[in-house]
Amino acid sequence: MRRRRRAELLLALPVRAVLGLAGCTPTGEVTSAAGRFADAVHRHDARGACALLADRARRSVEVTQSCAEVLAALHVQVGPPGEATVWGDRAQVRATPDTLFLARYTGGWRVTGAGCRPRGADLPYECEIGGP
Amino acid sequence: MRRVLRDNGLGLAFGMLFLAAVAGQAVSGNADFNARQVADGGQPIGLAAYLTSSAFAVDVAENWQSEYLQFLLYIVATVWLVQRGSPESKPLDKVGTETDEEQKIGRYATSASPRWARVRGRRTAVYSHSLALVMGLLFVMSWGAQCVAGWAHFNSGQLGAFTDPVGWLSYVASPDFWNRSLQNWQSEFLAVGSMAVLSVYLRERGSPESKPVGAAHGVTGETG
Repeated sequence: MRRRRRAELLLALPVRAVLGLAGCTPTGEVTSAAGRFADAVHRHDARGACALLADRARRSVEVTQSCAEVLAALHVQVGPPGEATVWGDRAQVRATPDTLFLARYTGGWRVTGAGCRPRGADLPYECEIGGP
Repeated sequence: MRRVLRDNGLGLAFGMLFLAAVAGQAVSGNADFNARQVADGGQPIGLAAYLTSSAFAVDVAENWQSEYLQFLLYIVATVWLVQRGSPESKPLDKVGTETDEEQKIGRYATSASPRWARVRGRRTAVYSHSLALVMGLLFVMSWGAQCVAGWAHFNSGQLGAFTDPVGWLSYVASPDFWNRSLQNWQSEFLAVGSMAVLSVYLRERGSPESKPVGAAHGVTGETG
């Protein structure tokens, strides 16, 4: 198992180096966007957190109330961003206790799913905001 | 200039067809990619970004690898396998790697033979298989490119579907990787098999891929 993991790492390093040179692994930008979202949630700045949501995620919560009103009532927990995984224009950030999903747009990375928890192997996460 | 064009018409024509087709694939692939991006809540990307994306790379590489595999197998298989009546086959009594005299190597080489066919030893051995070796190398490289680009594209899709990305070995064992590979392989094998058999009975006047129009169905290895 360890050998398999090592083989994957050895393969991933040059791949990520090449992709990184092409500007395709902006884990720093992703972590920064996730950090701003976590910070806004932590400060109960619902309006600021809503501004960092992707359109589809924001629309998914705006059924009868505004995004800021819904977020203020939800009490979503978003911890400091941990490990970030970026593939193309999509990213996943571990933010204990839950997980964030992000996508890259013209203005930068936006949150497509927050408060996401795994439902089992190969199944999509279940998210409090946005998600599948 | 005119003579150069005529003498290299096959290579030049297919080189230009390749460029035109890959340009068309880039434009239509970009439009298709963007349609799916919008449907998935993502953002459309420009042509330049698409050309450097894993989506474009995997679509290109999966076709390249299957073409090089097709030619590699055909080059090697036709050493040992024959098809009675097919111009794609050599004569039935010449199965195998043939004699040095038939292959014009070593002391049977002519003054016009390539140097590596004349010198014998390791260089002649390598040169004797250089076509299959290069085709094999191109196959391995393009299949490897398909594997890496396919992995990146698959994981981007996984994250877009709010699912965990997978490791490289998991991707190599995944249906996505094998479906991409096998769907291309099956079409290549069908085309080669069809060509070997149909050319026994059907003709194209003037084509070296066909027997002469009046050649008997049973004649093997003759081209016109």
